[in-house]
Order: sequence, then C-alpha cells, then structure tokens
Amino acid sequence: MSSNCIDLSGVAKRFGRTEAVRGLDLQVPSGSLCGFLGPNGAGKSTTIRMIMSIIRPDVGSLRVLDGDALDHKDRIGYLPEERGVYRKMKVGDYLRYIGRLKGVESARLPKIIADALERIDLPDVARKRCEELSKGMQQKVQFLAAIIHEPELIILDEPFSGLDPVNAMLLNDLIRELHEQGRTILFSTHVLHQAERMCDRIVMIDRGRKVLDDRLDRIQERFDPRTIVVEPLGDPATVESALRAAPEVESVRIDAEHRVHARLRDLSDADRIMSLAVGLGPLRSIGRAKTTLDEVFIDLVDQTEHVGGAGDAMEPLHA
Amino acid sequence: MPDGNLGKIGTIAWREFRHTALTKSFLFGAVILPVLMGGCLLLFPLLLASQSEPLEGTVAVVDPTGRFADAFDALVRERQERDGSAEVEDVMRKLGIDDKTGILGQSLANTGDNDYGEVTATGFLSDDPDTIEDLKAEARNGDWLAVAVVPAPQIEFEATFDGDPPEIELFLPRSTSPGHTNLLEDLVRTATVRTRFVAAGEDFEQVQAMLDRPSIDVRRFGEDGAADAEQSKLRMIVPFGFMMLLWIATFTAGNFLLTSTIEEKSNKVIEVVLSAVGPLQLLWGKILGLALVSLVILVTYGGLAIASLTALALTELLSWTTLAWAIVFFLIAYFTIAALMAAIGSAVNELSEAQTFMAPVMIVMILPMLLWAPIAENPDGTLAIASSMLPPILPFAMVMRIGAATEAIPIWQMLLSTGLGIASVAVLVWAASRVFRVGILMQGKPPSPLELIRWIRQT
Repeated sequence: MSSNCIDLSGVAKRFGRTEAVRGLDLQVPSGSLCGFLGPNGAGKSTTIRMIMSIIRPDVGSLRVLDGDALDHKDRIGYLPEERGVYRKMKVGDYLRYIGRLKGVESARLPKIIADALERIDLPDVARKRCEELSKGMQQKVQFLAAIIHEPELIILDEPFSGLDPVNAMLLNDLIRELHEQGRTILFSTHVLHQAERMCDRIVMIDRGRKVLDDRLDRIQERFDPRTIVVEPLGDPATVESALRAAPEVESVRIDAEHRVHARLRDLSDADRIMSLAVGLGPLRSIGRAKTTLDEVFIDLVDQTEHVGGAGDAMEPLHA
Repeated sequence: MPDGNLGKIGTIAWREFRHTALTKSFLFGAVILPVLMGGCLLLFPLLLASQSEPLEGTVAVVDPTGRFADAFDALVRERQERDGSAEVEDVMRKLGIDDKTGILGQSLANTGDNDYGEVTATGFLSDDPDTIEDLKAEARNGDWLAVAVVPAPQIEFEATFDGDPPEIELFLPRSTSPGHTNLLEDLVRTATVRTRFVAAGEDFEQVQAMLDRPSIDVRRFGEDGAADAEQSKLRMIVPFGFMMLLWIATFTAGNFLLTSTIEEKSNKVIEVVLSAVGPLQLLWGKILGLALVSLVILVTYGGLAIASLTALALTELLSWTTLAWAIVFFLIAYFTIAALMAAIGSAVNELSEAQTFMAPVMIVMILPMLLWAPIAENPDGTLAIASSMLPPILPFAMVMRIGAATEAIPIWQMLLSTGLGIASVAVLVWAASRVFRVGILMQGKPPSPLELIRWIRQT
C-alpha cells in the first residue's frame, strides 16, 4: 500500500454553474491526523463526498486506500455533515444495523456496542429510541456508528458542530485515542482552533481551491510573525523608543492594551532583542508572538481576494 | 454480486420489513383488523338474531268490513311457520351464489326466526271516533300492541270512491322499536292485500303462487362438455376481487416505500447508510424488504378471500394454476409500483412534493378500476387482450382476465404478457435506479420532470 491513505489529483466538481471544487490535489499520509479546513461553502463536504465515492468528480483521479472508496467501504468510517438517525429505531438496533452494513459479524456486535456506549458515557441508552435522545447524545451515537467497524481510515465532516464544550472535549479525546491506535483521520471543520489543537497536518481550501497544505509545525514556522511582544510595568513609550532604535527591529507599535510589538528583520535576532527589552525595566511579560490558524487563514483568503478572486487564486502553499 | 453485497441487501431488506410489518400499527391495521372484520361479517347475522325481541301482543283493528282480523291472523301464522330460508335462497340465487354447504344460507335464515311471537288481531266493526279514541287510549296504557284503522274502501274495491281511498292509520305506543314498527307496518299492508282478495272471492294463496317469478338454474357447458352451475354475478365479482387484492397489496407496500425513502432523506440518515452501501444496494434492499410486506398483505387478504370461498363451497372458481399465475402477476405489479415509488421518493424531500410526480402512478391506480366492467364482461375481447399486454397496467388487467375467464386464456397470451411485464419491470427498475442514485442525495428544490429524464439519461 502507498504511504498515502487518500490521494486526489486534479479533482474538480461542478454543480450547474457553481464550481464547488477546482483542480484539487490532496494527499493524506497513512497514520496522520489531518484537518481539512475552510469557511462555509469552501467545498469541504463536496470533496469528502467525492472521497467517499458518494458523488463522482467531473475530472481528476481519486484513490482511497489504494482503490475506490466503494470497494473499501468497510475499511472507512464516515461521519457526514448532514447526519441523522432512524428516529423510531432503538439505539442498540441502529448501531447493530449500521455495524452489519459495515460488515461486522453479528456475534461480535453486542459487546462492541455495549463497550462503545460505555465509552461515550451513554451506557443505558441501547434500549431507548433514537428520538428520545438529546441532539448531543444523538451526535455521539452517530460518531459511534461511524467507527463501530474499527476502520483504518476515518473521515469526519464537522464532527464538533452542535456539541457542548464537555462533549466536544470527549469527542476530542476519542479522536486522539483513535489516532494513537494508528488510524488515519481526516476531519473537516470551519472552527480553526480545534484543528490547531489536534492535527499534525492542515489542508485549507477556499472557494473550491486549495490554499494551504502542510504540517502544522511548519505552518507555524512559516507564518511566524517574527514579533516580540513586551508588556512593561512602566511607560510603554520608553520601551517603544528603545526598541525602535535597535537595528534588528523592523517596526514597533503599541496596542490598545499598552503592549509593545517589535517586528524583527530576522528571527535569529529574537534572543538579543528580548535581552535588550528585559534590561529596559520591570516587565509584566515578554515572549514571541504566535500565529493562529485563524490569522493564517484570514491572511490567505485576503491574498486570494486581492489577487483577483477565486478564479485566479494564488498557488497553494505546499510542503 | 459478491456475497457481502447480497448480505447487505438482506440486512437492509430485513430492516425495512421489520420496521414496517412487525409494528403494532401495521399488525393491527393490515392484519388483525381485516381478520376481525371478516369474522364480524360471518358472526354479524348471528349476533343480530340473538339481539332481536320477537313481536308479541294483540293488534286492535278498526275494520267495518269485519274481514281483516282473520286475514291478519292467517298471515301471522304463515310467517311463524316460515323460517326465512326460502327468501334467503331466493336472494342468494339472484346473487349467483351456489351455497352448497348451506352455512351462509342457514346463518342468514336464522336471523329471521325470532321475528314473530304470539301476535293476534282483534277486530272492531265500529269506526266512530269515540271507539277509535278509546282504543288509542288503551294502546297508550299498553293494552294493545297497536291500533290499526283500516277504512272500508281499502278493502272493498268494488265500492266506488271518488279519488284515492283514505289511508290506513296505524297507532303505536311510544316504546315500539323501529324493527317492530316495520314488522307491524308490513303485516297490516300485506293483510290488507290479502283481505282484498278474500273480499273479491279469490283464493289468495293461489294468486300469490301464480305471481311468484320462477327461478332458473343456469348451467354453462364446461371443457369436458358437462353442464356446470353458473355463478354469473360471481363471475363479475371474482375478477374485481383479484384486482383489488393486487391493488391493495402493491399500493400499500409502494406507499410504505415512498414514505420510508422520503423519511431517510429528510432525517439525513441516508448519507450514513450510503457510507456503508451503494445506492443500488440500498434501492434493492428497500424494494425486496417491502416486497415481503406486500406479500404479507396479499396473504392476509387473499387468505380471507379463499376462506370465504371455501365456506361457500366456491373453490371451483380458483385453481392452483390460477393462483400461480396470480402470484406471477403480483410480482410484476409490485416491482412496477415499487420502482415508481422509489424513484419518486428519492427525487423529493417531502411527501407533499411527491404529488407532482404521482400522475403516472395515479394512471396505474385508476385505469384497472375503469377496465373492470368491460374485462369482466368480455375477458377475451380486444380491450381485455390489449390492456393485458400494455405495461404498466398489464398485471392488473391480466388478473382480471384470469378471474373472469370462462375458458382458459391461451398460454401464448399469458407468456407474452409475462414477458412484456418482466421487460417493463426491468426498464422501470433501471430508470428508477438512475433517478435514485442522483436524487437520494439531492436536497432543496425538487427536480422537474425534464430533469428526471436527464438524470435517467446521465451515464
């Protein structure tokens, strides 16, 4: 098997006049936890549906687990964005039904279901009808349905939407556990900080086109703002003028909370500038500014728009 | 198709069957209720008979001719001696029912047994108002069952009378039941006619016997040349029964298929299922699961019909060959309706949107009803033969022909109709699978009929 669980090359999909996905190349390495990010309507769900062979691309090649997803449905776990349950079915029956469709032996299912329900803190719901569960509970059951056959590739489309913080944390832990077991996970979200917290790889798309694809640490490095943030106890203007005078500093500004931001010409000068700032008087805090994915994303989308709209989007930043 | 895929189709089919047929509402509505209704139809005459109180008491008759009371008593005696079986036989003969076992005839005849208890008439010659008022007062006190005032011109027809004779008056206590009112009314009217004949010097029994229309034992020559009893009315009803059985079984299951597909789309579970199986597996699983539901309905209603025919000793109207052909055309009818319903269900988001596409289904539903009378009348006519070869109504038309045929339908017609039916089912299921594959994930505005055709033509 190749080292990539998912391999898309030049994939495009059009619905009427709308180009949902354009020339998308995407590789998800085996064993990775990959965040698939983008704003609403970016083409994430369409891409995922194509990966799952639920819809077919107009052009491009698409390989999942070295073949067609249709041939490997039992090896793939999928939680769609538009998800539901059979409202009148009992939770246990529903999970058993999905488990059977995913090729799990009937004899194994009762124990798998009992253990799984225990793990998501819903040990007593097997005999309840799905419609009796709250939305959050239903969502956890849906997640179980996606992984009940212990798949090697798990694709989750907006898995956290609609979950309260406690259940979001539970789901977060479950995804990490699955990743630690060696499963490849691709999940889409438009809430970027979740991906930042969990993923080792990030793919961003905007208006159907990929704008970023790299490991998280490298993205953070590449988009490092080269900025030292100093919070003095005394007058910030004194610190500002001293730092402005340093030749390593490109620019300085004071924000609304009286913190001084000094942008460096080169990141290797950071230690020296920090020593200089410490010598200027007592400080409440000092450190290097971190880039968030939100900032990266906004920056990339802005660039896309300035270059001339989605049709002429910039070349994707690729590892 | 690999075994795993067949297994998944089986899993889907079983879920569809279990969550449609093994529910309390289905068992009650589609199985228990018809069985209860069938039972009630058989038990109803007996229950009715046990409920009715016999008519008892004396009727005061104001009759200046003095002839009415004797005629009334004679009529009551005649009615008491009769057990009702003659009338029942007459009615059944008119319906074309040959009640060989006698079960139905006996149970119907028994209902009339208890109508008449000790009922007599006492005549009063004086028709002056005081006498009538006294009798009415006594009737109010419960001394008389009724008071009948029969004017002389109603009986003595030779008496010239300017215009219509005055009406007979019948006074009843407030507590008289509607059933007893009808009996008394009938007794007084019939006794009046009887008295007229007696007054005219005629023998009423003889005249009545002369006026009684004779019954005819119609027999039709069978294939072996022997003359079999004719059940002409049943020959009209049996094809209708065949068609209705097919109609109920296929459209009920088809409707379940439509609603379950729409439900899966609207509650968003469809994409979860499609992550495990392909759309065609889902389509076949649903169609086969609901075929079992349809079969349960067919067996329930068909079983009731066969039980009724057995009770009436009319099983000669059915044969194993007939039933086998009926099953073949049931399958063709079911898959025709199922393909249409699955395609419609996948193309829309709500039941109300489905109405737009129901026109072809409505044609299949209504046409057999319109064809019933001409096919039952002439099962070998051009219209019958043509409609039994015309998809998608051919299974309904052919079962009507099978039910109505007095001669065996030529085997080439049966085989041609079956072949055409299977071919049309293949085309319909193919088209439905095309629509299903695209429509099942489609949200928002439902497609136009032209778009549906485009979906079918898409590769």
